[in-house]
Amino acid sequence: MSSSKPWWFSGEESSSSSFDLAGMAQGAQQIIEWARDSLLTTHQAHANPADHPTCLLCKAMQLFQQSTSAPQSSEDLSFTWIELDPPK
Amino acid sequence: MTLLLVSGAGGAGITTVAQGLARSLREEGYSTAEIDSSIAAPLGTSQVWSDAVSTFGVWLQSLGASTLAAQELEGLVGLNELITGVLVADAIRNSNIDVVVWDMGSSREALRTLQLLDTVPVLLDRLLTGPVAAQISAPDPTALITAWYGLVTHVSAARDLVHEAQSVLVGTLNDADALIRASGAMRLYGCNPAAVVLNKVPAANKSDTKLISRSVKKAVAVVDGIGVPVVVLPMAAKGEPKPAKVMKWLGPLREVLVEEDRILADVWSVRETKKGYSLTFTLRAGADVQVGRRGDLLLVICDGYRRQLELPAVLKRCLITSGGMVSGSLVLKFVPDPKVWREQP
Repeated sequence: MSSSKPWWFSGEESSSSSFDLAGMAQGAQQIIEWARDSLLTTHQAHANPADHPTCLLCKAMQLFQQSTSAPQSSEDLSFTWIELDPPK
Repeated sequence: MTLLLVSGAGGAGITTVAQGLARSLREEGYSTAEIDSSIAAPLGTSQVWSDAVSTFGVWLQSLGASTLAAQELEGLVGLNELITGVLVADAIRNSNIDVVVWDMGSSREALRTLQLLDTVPVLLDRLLTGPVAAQISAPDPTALITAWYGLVTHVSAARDLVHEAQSVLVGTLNDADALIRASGAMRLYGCNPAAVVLNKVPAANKSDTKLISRSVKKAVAVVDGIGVPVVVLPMAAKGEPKPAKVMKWLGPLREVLVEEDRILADVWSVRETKKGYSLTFTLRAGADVQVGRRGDLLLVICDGYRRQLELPAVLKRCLITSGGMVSGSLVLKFVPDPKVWREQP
């Protein structure tokens, strides 16, 4: 195993083990905090997703809208009735 | 854990039977909870309400409207049934309770509750995944999605429990046809009847013995069509019988519902045939049934009650070739869609 720290490892090196769970948890926490501060906080002020192409959440919302709000014809929304045989 | 749903013809003594059954179960040592649909559920304190406020409250706020207070909606038709359904689901999950008896009121009220429990999760799910969801500007999107998911899960849990419940239909001798109709519509929502109680049957005296026994036989013959045990309860000498008295009469019913290890058949099933598949949906003989399809959704209308079903995976890529009612069951024939399935070389 390589002695150098992996890119995702943010904890202190432990002499007994190359894995430090507390350090990993701290790293995960840092990622969550970064996501909250840099993504959610800035996104809150974005009223129209189309005006913010560099915001990840606005981009996701636009993609989401494109995939779900495709115009549907009335034909798509209506049920086709099935002609049933006389009861037996 | 057993869930007993009691409903039937209005005025036939549904509550008396539900209470008598619960008493009878307690006497036998079962820890029994009784839930009555007619009592307004405590909306403000329920988890489902807090989830609803967390989701729709945020939604309303994002549209510039003020959020709703529990008092504004307390006792609202539909909401009360949903909250009661969720309370039943909570009681069922309580490990200290053996049996939950749910007095659902008249068949019309019971069917409305079943319809709501079936439809609301689908609508909520569609809102969550539809374009409307993308318009919601929530200060805390994660909390919103968690609360929304909680709301769907709560209502779906109540709906799924109904599918495993045993339903008791209560009526008088004059209600036999109405009970048959109710049984078909209840099956539509996945609720399988387990027993019929013919209540308030007049005690025969010398002058009208033949007449009464003939009308009892006639009513029993009609409700026998549901294919479940029938219990006949006599009318009390003066007015309504007390639950204590009913309790004694309901002993055989309690044995059928709780003590026998009964497995109710699924109301619908799919089996492979020579040419493809057939879907069988047990309803009732003589039911007015219509069937429609839109993509993967099947719309079944039974005696005016509607249910949308998502087709099982195997039938999604199939075409419906024919269908009809056979001995009280809707049978639909499916063949693989040639556009989707390639011919075998």
